[in-house]
Amino acid sequence: MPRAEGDRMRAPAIVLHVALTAAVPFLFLGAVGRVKARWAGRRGAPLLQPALDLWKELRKGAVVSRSTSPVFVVAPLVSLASAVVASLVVPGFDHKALVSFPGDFVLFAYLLGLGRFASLIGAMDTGSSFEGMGASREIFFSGLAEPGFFMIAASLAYASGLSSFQELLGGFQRGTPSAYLQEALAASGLFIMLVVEGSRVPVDDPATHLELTMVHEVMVLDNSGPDLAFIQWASALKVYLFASLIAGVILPAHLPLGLSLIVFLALIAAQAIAVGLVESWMARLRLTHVPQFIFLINVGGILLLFLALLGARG
Amino acid sequence: MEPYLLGVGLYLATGVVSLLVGERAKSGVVLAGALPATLLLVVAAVRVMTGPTARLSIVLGYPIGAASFVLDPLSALFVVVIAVGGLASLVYAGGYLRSYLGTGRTIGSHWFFLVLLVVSMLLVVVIRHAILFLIAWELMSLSSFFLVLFENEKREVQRAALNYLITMHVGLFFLVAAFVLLSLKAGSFDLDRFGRAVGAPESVPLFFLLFLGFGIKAGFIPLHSWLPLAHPAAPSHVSGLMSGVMIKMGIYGILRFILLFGALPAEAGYAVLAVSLLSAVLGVIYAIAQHDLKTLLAYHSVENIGIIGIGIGFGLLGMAYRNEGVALLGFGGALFHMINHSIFKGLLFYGAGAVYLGTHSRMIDRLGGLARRMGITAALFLVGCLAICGLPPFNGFVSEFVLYLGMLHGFGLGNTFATVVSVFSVTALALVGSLAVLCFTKVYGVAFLGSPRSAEAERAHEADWRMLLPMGFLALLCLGLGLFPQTVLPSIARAAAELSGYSAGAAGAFLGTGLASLVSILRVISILFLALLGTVGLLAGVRALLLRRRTVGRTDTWACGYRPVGPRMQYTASSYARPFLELVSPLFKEHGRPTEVRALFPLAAESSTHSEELLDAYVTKPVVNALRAAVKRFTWIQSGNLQQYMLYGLLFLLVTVVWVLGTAR
Repeated sequence: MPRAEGDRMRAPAIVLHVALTAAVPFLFLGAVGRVKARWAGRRGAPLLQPALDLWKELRKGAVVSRSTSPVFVVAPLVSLASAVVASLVVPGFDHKALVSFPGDFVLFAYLLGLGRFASLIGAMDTGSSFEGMGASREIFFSGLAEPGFFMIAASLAYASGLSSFQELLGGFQRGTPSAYLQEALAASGLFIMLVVEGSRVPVDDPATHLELTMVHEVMVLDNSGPDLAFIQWASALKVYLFASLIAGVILPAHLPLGLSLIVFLALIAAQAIAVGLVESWMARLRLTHVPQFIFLINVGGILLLFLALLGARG
Repeated sequence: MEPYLLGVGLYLATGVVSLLVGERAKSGVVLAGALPATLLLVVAAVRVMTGPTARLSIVLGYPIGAASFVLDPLSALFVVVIAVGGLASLVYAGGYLRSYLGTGRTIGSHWFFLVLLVVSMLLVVVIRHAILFLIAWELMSLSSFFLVLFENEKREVQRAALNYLITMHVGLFFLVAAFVLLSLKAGSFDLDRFGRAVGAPESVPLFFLLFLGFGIKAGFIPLHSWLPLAHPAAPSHVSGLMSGVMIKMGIYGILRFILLFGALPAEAGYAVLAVSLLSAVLGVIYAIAQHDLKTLLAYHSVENIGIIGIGIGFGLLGMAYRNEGVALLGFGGALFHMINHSIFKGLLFYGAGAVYLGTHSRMIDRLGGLARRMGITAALFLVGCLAICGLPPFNGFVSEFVLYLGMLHGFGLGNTFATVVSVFSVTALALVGSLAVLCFTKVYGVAFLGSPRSAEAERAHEADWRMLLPMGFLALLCLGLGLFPQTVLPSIARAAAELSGYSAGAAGAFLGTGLASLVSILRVISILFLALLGTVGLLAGVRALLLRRRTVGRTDTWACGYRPVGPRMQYTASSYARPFLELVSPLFKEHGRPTEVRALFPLAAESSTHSEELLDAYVTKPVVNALRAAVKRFTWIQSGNLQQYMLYGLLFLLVTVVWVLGTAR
């Protein structure tokens, strides 16, 4: 009875899923750094470096600006908490989320929105012109990206006839050429989301050293110690969540659990390498060109909808 | 019906008594009457929500005839909104008007009109007689006109109030026209007979006529031009009441006639949806461009009316294509969002009033640092900001979620066009949500956080407790309805089922299954919200634990190694919104250009910009100006001479008599 086996394997699968959600975000960032280093001919920091950085920050004291209010302290907590709760509805290696219900992707997006709201006002609270500028850019970019995400999700929901994350990611995989094209479109749209939400090249450059050109980095100039650790954890987790969504789109449904895990991790690793290579090969876009790049998500969404409509007809 | 009538009567009596007592006693008198009245009204509404519809019929003399007052589930929802919103406004007014006591301003009639506005709204939602309905409707417009005119020595207030009065009467004109046509067809003034009298082909133009009339009150684009003028001009308890509650009467009117007409063709649904999407998207875009806190909030009312309208549009589509899920989720989401908006918009306007009294400024760029000077106001305002952006765990999220579910069900409508429309509506609502985040992070970040940007902001002081109390109550409602939406959902679902045209039995059967599945989804969301709050608490504990033995230093904001950041170096609201506004600049007509820097050592420089809505600049204004020019040719009729006016009256009578006699046979 496959069903009984599925139920028996559920508990270890959940444990594994939680463990991956806890550990992989930092490994992902570590891998990105490693790829960049290798491409540049350096050996690079260990894979665990981001996790070690976090551990170091957690054990430090903090410095808080005089011009801030309690908002500044609470904002990182809300950022991390909203990312953690959002992770509950994202399906993992076995195409299953911890919590799933129709329309859960709406909650996912709005929880990330709450985290964004918190980090934006946290940055504004310092009264620094740099951080205000960073906040302005951050909301401009992610605000444009969010409708694209909904367009992709709604098109997938239409294509699959279902409306929860874990169903709609695998629900349209039918093995037809059109379905493969849909997978590719959804995955590339979500990859742009990953780039935007994760503040990676070509939208933002996490390695830049000049405040004027930063987006995400400049928003957290005044955060230190545990506050900074929480923020970095939240942003690593967000990147991982989008990477798992993309993996979920491509990952074939109904694989044996072990194979599914291997393919899933391979897909995540491939994305880390892709992010690293993009960062090695190209510079960030000019700020004024970023919106056009982000609108590509909508283009992908419209094409996806078109294909889904054709699929429904034919 | 008795508690309802008693409540309205008590309210009315309170208003009259408030006219007779001294200036300082007024707020006490009004509250003494309003509290029990609110209780009675809520009791009456809850009875209807859980039991049978209450009716009362009376027979009056000519020309009214038989008139009925009906409190059904739809009315009951609005009654609760009016009663709770009205009470919050009255309590707040007690604190807000204190600073005007003893300044020689006539506060007496202000209280009376405040009560009258609440009473007239309470009547509008139960009257089922065309003439009485219009009288109550007009009473509502007039009392709010006098309320807007509070600071009547200011020119911009006079202009805004007059603009409001005229706009409302343009709306009234459409309503009168529709009501005359309908009552001729029905042969009665009874609204309940209107529905049966109209057939399918003529219901659409009549519906649009009514939509125009009610849409002006609700503030749908392009009928919204009065909102951004009237709300900033009025004192904050009035703006809160008007924006939170009164514009919902327009929504009530639209819903009531949908209920009366029954199923309308799909085109009506698409048209309502198109107008609503336009209102939602343009409303928030125009809000982002505003520098005045209350004008900005007024544009957000347009946005939220648009969101409510999206739900109504999907409800109509669901009815037209006979898809119960879409109809119920659409109407349900619209009603839920209507309730939620009345809560958080009231809260935000009251917060804006507290800021205004504390700093004497509404200009966002002149505020700043209020979170440390007006801590309670700042915390409550933040709740309002999160709720209006639809962010978890507040009530705005839940109603938008219901709307999203309705739109996703839109795929089941069974035609390609409806599917495309559904996907684009989902995208548009997401865009509105993310732009609202842009707008409210701008407001909150610039006005409440950072350092004070002006001397006034430096001297800001916390508001009176009478103002904080209703704000706290509304903020609590935002959280409560967000965490436990199941409590109000059955009442909303009942009204939505009636709107979708279900008979009582069929509604019960459908609600049994449909509502149960929706409630189970919302219960999961509630648990996740509690988990969210728990995680925040947990992390706060972890942070405290980590920092227990470590130093938490306080220093100046990092300025790249230069001197400490001055308040004037902070990012302004204009700069914050600039990247986005440049993207949508075709939607604006920009006035004023920054002065160019010419000499090597430029001295004084000044720059001011002001953006005007494109629609206003190129459509509304030219039309109004053309109309004004045309009407000017007839000014000679207006001599100001009483005898001449009486002559006009006599001539008119004569013409009518001749006409009637001439066509009699």
